[in-house]
Amino acid sequence: MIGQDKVKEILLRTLSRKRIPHALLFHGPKGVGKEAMALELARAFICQEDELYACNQCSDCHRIAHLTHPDVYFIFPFTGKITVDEEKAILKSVVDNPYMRSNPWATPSISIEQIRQLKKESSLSTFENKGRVVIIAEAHLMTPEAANSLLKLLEEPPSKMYLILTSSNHMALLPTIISRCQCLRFDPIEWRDIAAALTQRASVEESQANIIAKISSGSYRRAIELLDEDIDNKRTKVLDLLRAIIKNDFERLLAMEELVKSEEKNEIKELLNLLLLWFRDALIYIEGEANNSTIINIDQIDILDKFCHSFETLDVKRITDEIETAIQLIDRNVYINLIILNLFYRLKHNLRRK
Amino acid sequence: MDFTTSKNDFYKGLQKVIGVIPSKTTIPILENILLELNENTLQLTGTDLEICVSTELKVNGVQNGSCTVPAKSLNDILRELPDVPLKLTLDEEGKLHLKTEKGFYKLMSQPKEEFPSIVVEESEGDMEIDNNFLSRMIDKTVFAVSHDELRPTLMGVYFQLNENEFRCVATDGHRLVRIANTAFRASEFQKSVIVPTKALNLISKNLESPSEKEDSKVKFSIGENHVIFRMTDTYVYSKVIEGQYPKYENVIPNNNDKKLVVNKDELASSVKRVSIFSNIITHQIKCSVEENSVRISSEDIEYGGEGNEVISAKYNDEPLDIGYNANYILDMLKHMDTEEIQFLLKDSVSAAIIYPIAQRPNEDLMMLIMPIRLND
Amino acid sequence: MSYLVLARKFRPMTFDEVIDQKHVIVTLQNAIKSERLANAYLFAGPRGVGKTTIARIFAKAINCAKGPTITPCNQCSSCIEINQSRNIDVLEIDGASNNGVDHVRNLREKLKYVPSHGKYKIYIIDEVHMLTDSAFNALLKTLEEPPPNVMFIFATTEPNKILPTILSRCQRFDFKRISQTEIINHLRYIATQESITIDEDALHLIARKADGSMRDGQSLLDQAVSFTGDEITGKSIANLLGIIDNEIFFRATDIIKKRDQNEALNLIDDIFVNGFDLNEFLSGLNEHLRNILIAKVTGSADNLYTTDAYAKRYLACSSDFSENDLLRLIKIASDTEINIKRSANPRLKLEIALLNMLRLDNSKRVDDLLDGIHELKNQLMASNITSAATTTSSPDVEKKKVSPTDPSAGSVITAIGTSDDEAGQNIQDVAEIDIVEIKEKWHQFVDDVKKNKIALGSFLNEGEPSYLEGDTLVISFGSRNGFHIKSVMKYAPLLETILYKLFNVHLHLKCIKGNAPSTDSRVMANYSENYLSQLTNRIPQIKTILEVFDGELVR
Repeated sequence: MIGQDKVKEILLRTLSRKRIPHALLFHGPKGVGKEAMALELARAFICQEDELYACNQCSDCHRIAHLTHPDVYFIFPFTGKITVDEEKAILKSVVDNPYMRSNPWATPSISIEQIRQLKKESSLSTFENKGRVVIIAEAHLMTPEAANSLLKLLEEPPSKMYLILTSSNHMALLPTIISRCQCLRFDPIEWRDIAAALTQRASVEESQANIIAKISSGSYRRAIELLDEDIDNKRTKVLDLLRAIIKNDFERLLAMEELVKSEEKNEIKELLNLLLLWFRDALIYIEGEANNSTIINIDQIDILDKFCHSFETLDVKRITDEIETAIQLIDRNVYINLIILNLFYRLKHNLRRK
Repeated sequence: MDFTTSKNDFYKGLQKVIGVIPSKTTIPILENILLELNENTLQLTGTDLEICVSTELKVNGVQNGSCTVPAKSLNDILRELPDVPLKLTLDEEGKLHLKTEKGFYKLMSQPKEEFPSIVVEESEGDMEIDNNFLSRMIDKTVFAVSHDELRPTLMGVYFQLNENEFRCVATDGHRLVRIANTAFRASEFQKSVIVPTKALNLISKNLESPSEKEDSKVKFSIGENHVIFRMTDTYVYSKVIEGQYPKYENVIPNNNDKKLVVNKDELASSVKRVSIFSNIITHQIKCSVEENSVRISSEDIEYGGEGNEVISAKYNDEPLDIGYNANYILDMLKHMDTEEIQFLLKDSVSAAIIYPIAQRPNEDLMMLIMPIRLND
Repeated sequence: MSYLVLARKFRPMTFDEVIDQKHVIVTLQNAIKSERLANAYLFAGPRGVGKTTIARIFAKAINCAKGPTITPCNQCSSCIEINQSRNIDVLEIDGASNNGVDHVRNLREKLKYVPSHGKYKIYIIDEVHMLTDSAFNALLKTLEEPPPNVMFIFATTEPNKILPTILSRCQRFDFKRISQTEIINHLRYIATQESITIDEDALHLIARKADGSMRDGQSLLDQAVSFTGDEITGKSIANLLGIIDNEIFFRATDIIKKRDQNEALNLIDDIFVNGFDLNEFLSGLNEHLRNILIAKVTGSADNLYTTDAYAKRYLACSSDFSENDLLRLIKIASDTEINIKRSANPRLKLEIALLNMLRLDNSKRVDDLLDGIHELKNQLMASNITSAATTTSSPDVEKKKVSPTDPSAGSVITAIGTSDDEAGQNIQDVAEIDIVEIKEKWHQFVDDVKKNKIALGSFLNEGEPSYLEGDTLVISFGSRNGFHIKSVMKYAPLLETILYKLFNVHLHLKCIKGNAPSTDSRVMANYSENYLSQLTNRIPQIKTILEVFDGELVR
């Protein structure tokens, strides 16, 4: 597990005290290890080799990690009908990296059929008699029917059954669901932990790992995605954009056209997010100590320094508000050329050279 | 792993297991069959995670070992082969070679560790039952099992073992069957378990197979989360239904003093005819019991049809009008062996108890049926 | 490894054990006593207040071997089986998974059979609001002509979703939230039974968070025991529930007071490292600032719901800030609280908010400013007599006064020219508002206008406030916005009223085309420089004003 020391500590305490609640809710942002922790906990429950931890050697541990254990159910949301093969593919993606998601997990739901199936299974005994674990990923995506039909099982499951619900938006869960669970909050992972994980697991160079970790805003999933995205290139692009914005009207127009033409919507959002981070760095650089460890673009500190000194007082609040509004507008499907052009003009307006 | 066998032997063993293997599943390993060789014994195992079937066959073992291979491929190739000698070996890359005189086939295998493991404890509770006896117990009860998921515990047959009695009970809340064998002996053994119908049907099928002789015995054991039925060379392992079975004894009345005796076939054919005109949802028929006769009638209010028959019976008590579900009556009659059967009645809103006119030695068979309210 | 959670372990078994809901229990018990049982009951109320629990007890009471009785024995086979949910005559159905019309038909078919053992066949249907309309309608027929010895108990958290035709056929009971005191008492009882040591602080925190639900309270207590240990304190609960320690807020206000930017950034890093929820932090900070404000306004700590030690600290803190400071800090905190939920980068939002809080030095001087102005006004009044003599002998002023090109400028001059008293007034007006403030609140102004006339607001959006000419606000529009200008000017009186409401200053409106300062205003600048230098000569106090305000001559 990456980070989440607080959660780990709490869970270990419940394990050592043998006071494991039958219904747990793990909630917190995406990509911080909720499902990974649920699987880890499933191993600790079922593995007989070690008192507290999972041994990760025995057949139980092995099969849970591969989601082939007969007494571990992994329920996840999907869109509409799904074939067994697709389901298999999704499960495999979870096995390969519990922090990741494959595509059909996009805008889906957990249906009442899935819960009915679970209830049917739970009326029978366990297969291997070591207890069983039900993991319901992104439980807030249960349809109201599904959620309501889970209540009885959630409150009074058969003996030796543990239900672990995970959710990245637990406010959307029914209060009747939350009321039956013991809740554990997962926080964004500290960037230092993500950086360490990146260097160890993905053998990323340390300086690069640091930058990616900071950009990922606490999500290991995001960090892994960023690895594939040639983030340096993007950061250069952001600086180019910034240069174009403050140059002149014509350059600005060109930059807008270029951006809208060549990038996808999500890419543009990504770039705007990076732009946001640049201004954040500027803010920290101006206000805080120059070597503040939270500065993201630490490798571009010279440019940052020059940038900060070439402008009148930077109204970072105003600027970041503008960028965030633009990002929200993109999500709302406003004509993208307009958003970008408008944003660029507003940024220019707020960036006055000394 | 390395052994030789004949196609027919191998194929026959495979057939006992193949039925349980699911064709589409999210856990790919379940589509495999587990082969385990120990000396000259080859064990074949398949499971769908509810039931596990395992069978043994004699082969000429060369080297012990185990692996799992796709059951469908194995079955398909064996089916197409004539009865020829086979040599099976597992190579170092994990491929299973199947050699015949004419050629060879390679099957991808996966290690045994991936396969669900079944812990068969040699529990203290092993006991033996005659094949035909178990078969009869299952046959007499399984039809009365509930299919209603609202009460999962009723969706199986309740096996109740006491020191000197072995009972099976099934009910769906409106009818109940209890069969007990009193010749049963097991010292210091008292257990009960709810066995899902799926397993019972599979066992029935296995018990009918030619390799099972009527006079051989089934070993039966109850674990915390499973039951195992061991037959001559095959065992069936099944999950059990969690939860507690209702106290069915409470439902059985002990003060039904009105005795009705009828001919089973006569009643059955009469009910069959009359029920054609019963309501298609409730299948309600009315039995008007009078001195030495039963009038069976039905009325289809929607379509205006009517049915009416009188059969003779032995009855010397006050007349009663009772409503029943015709299908339930027919199901029960079908599972009665004697020519005449007796009903014990109380009134029109109490359960009726049905016995065969004579019990078999050491056996006690009882059925119970709840009436339907007649006033609507 | 497994254990029974407290909510299950302490599920009441008799009416006496139920906490609260006396109004329901008494009525049900009376019905049992007088043997006037309805065929259908509806138990409505929030989660975890005892709906299913009471339904089960009621079922036991009716079918008990000694029953119907108001005190089910919990010993007869009927009671035991109901407790174990395996009674053949009492069926708990969850309405969510059996919500279709087929499920109800299936159920109706079974109603024809008489109870197997007990007196009644009792169907407890939980989450009954999940039934489809057609399922409800199928049920309706049964409720209209209920078979004898069949009883339905419906339980729901959302009675509003149930068809009125169903509602009218049920005896309805509305379950209440359980009071904090009752929850605290019951949790204390559980703690004693379970040999858990728990302090009052912790019980209060749990009860507050439980929000009227006993099960929530029990779950939280459970959680506290599982996650922290057998000795539960307010502090450990606070940690568990994500309630942030007050110290961090005192640290925050301390940083704001000292304007230590680097410390501010460190604080935010700490919040992240400690894994506090940002929303919790902001709402906590809000409450903290509110407490200081209350201490400041009332001058005492009597109205604070907190311990004495903290009350003293709030009071001490209140001397570090002015009321206005606190109001503005609260404004920033609550704005951020709202915006942070949609933010792509919540951390950045928080950083900006905190740094903005540090920058509040402008507001620090507002009181001083007002004092200064009052002083000036008094001085001006004092100098009235001496300056009056020179008033008429300023030809330039007179000349400008009749200048036809700029009526608004004229009005300023007239005002100052005619009476020094009024001049003072005007200066004050002008001093109270500057273009920066107008620009800052421009959006708000436009929004206010939109509330009156949407189109007008949109027109105004095209323009932006450029500068002030005395008491005239000049709004500049793009060169092609002639139509906008006309429309805006048409509603000038309305706009001026709104401006007054917002800024508390009487301003006139003027619209110009083009963004660059027009020649007009350059003339104005020249003019005002001359004018002001004359004015300072004439009225020496003006110079003081300029000094006090650290002002320069803009126009």
